[in-house]
Amino acid sequence: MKRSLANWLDSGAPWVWINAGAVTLCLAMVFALLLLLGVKGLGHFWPRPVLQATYLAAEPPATIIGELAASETIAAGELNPVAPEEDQDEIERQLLKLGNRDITGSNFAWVFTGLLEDVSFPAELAVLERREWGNLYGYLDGLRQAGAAVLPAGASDGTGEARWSELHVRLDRARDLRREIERIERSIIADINFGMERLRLEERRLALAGGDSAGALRENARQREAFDAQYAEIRLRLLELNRQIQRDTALFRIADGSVVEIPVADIVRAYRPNAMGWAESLGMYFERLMEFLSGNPREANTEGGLLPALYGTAMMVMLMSVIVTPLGVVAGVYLSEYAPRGWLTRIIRVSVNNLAGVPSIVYGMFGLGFFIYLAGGEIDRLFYAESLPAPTFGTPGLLWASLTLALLTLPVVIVATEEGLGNVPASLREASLALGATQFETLWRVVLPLARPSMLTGLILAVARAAGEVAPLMLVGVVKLAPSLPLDTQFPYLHLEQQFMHLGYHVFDLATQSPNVEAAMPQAFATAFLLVAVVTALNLSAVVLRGRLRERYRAMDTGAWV
Amino acid sequence: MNGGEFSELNPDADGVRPEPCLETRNLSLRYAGNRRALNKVRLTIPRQRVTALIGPSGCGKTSLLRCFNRLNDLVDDCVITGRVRLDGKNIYAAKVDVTELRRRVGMVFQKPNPFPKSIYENVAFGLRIRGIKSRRRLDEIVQESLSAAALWDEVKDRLHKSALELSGGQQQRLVIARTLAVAPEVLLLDESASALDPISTLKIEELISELKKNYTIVIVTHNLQQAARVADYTAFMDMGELVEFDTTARIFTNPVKRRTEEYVTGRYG
Ligand SMILES: Nc1ncnc2c1ncn2[C@@H]1O[C@H](COP(=O)(O)OP(=O)(O)OP(=O)(O)O)[C@@H](O)[C@H]1O
Ligand SMILES: [Mg+2]
Repeated sequence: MKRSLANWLDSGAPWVWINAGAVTLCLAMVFALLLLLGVKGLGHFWPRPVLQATYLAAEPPATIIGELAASETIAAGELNPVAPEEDQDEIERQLLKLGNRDITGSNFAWVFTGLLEDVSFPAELAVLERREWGNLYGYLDGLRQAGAAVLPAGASDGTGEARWSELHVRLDRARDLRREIERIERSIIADINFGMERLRLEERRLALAGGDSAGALRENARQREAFDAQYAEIRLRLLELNRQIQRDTALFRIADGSVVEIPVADIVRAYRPNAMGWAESLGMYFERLMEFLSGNPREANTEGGLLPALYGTAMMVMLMSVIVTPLGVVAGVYLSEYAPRGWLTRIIRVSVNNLAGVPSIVYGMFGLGFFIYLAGGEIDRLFYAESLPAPTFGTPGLLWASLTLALLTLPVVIVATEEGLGNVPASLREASLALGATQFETLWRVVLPLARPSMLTGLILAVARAAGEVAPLMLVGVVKLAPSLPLDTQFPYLHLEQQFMHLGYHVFDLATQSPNVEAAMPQAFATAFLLVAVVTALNLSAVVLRGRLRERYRAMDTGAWV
Repeated sequence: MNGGEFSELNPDADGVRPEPCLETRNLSLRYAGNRRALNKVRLTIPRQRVTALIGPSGCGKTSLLRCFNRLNDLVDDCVITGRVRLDGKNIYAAKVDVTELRRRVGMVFQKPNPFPKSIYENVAFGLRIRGIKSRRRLDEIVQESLSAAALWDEVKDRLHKSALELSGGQQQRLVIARTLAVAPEVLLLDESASALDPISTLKIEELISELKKNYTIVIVTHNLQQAARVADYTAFMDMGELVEFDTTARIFTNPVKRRTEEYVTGRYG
């Protein structure tokens, strides 16, 4: 017996088991994380049924309408005040999303499942996603155009369906109008503002420079008049559009029986989840998913999309890569190929390695102090004197965030480059040198191509780290809500000085800073899932690229350096 | 040049006294940790002859070859003392252009080390570095070199495939072709015909005999028959020292030192 145990230990089998166990545990944790994020985040876009019931715990018993958000079973003892059924030790309760925040003040409520009576899922029950105040649940009761009823009001006579489709006609109209308004605001008004600002700065510059500028000033004044005239015209047009968009309203009968009037223009989407088949639900799912990916946030980021955050993250990571790759590679090449081997080089190498371990918030502080206040302030004084005291570059922004993260990830790229270069077999360098190549030619034609996969690995790690970093960004350029995207159609197209939104910060903001925690949670999960997806996609693309490079050097028996 | 220094080169089989090409005086080499690999080596390599370096494994043959093209410069903490002269000029002098030296003194390594590039690019590497761009000229030299190294027929259909897909013996001939392509004045061959089949070996040996009309060749070999076949002069080394150097005929038939005799007659050890 003892013998066989010793044999078993000697065979190395225990180690294999321990290793396999560790790998399994890691995989299980990763998959559990992805599953949680996926289910919680992606499930959020599926239209859920809305229930109507009489709640007996209310005094007097009242009708409630809501969407089931969560349910749990708790011990009766946990509920101190009044445990509704003393004989039961376990009570099931449900979290209902009641909506109608503007009317009732509260949005979510825990109800005891046992005290719900007459539970039903009426097909006519409608959900409104609104531009403000979140969802509204109720029955469509009537439509008004400029205050006059469009179709005769009534409870559930045959006109219900007609009214519902009429509502959608009017929703489409409002959507088209809104699009037109946004187009005008985004392009024409932005152009005018941009032009006016340019004129203002030019006058400042002329004033600062002194000298005779009467001619230029006259020309400016003429241009300004033109802008003013254009603006007045546009303003009239906007007023008219805004008047038109306010024309229609819809009447909804909500849970307590009262009827509220909602401007059609405030409705993003209206649907009746209980009446939808799965095909319709699927359509709705993708519509909402698309809005999530390509829309702007609403309601303090708890609803709508996160295109700006997605965009900001991608921009920042790309800028960072463009900065960190050449810098890191050149530094790595110098350290490993050219630096004299001495104590100074050793100290530098150790320092670089240690830099990788410096807490990221420290980099944030450095970015704030050095880049923003010092470098940015100097740039403002030299090139943007006319807009002072309002800072241009002396304030957190995309460029400084990218630079800070480039600094943060620089050690990773340097170390990976050095490692890649060090792994190129000496025999290949010697072969090249023996053929009469200089050190640089050897580096360029033999060593660097072989080290490319390692450098890419370094970049992958850098990108993954940068995309997920939040703490330093809060100091150097990320905001909860950015007024515009950092890349647009206004010269100079890429606005390096602008603040931007970021997925990681978005998650943080939703999860901890939102006044409406229950409403923000699903969005936080969905954002977290998207963040993981973005990082994974970035990694995968780099891994594929690296695989391609490696393929060329495969099947070499001289050594394992790739 | 001082005639006295040539005197140690005995006349070859034809009674001609060759000119010296590479000379070492008092050459010692220590690797990191005070490992002495060469000890006061005094050797004169004759011009346009084949010189064989023989000796037991670890005796310093490779170390000596690497002194001739200054490849030991790359080894950390490797200390070289003494002098090495090529055409009478000290190659370790401060103003020597090492790249230029390595273009004149080509080396084929003991272990084949093709670049992870195509067969064609491996051979063309040295040419490209010398600035040869003409496609026709490259094609021409690549074919010549591969033919000379007895490899052309085997690879002519896959010139643009990776060199790493070649067998060990093919790789060895490839790296010979790579060095031939750049036509150095001195050719250092470190066991380049080991691991080759008899036919390829024969071809390489023919090539060596052919090349000595224009080149100075130093070969390291453990195959004594091979040394006897191709070399005009032979140097026997042991434990980092040059034990004996003379014409191949003398070393194999009438050596002065007992150690040499024991080695060439197989009683060494
Ligand atoms: N880079 C190095 N660093 C330290 N010691 C070395 C190095 N290269 C060679 N040596 C040592 O120097 C001595 C001579 O080595 P060398 O390679 O010159 O022998 P060799 O005669 O070529 O042997 P072989 O016939 O086996 O190739 C050996 O003892 C070896 O261990
Ligand atoms: Mg050797």
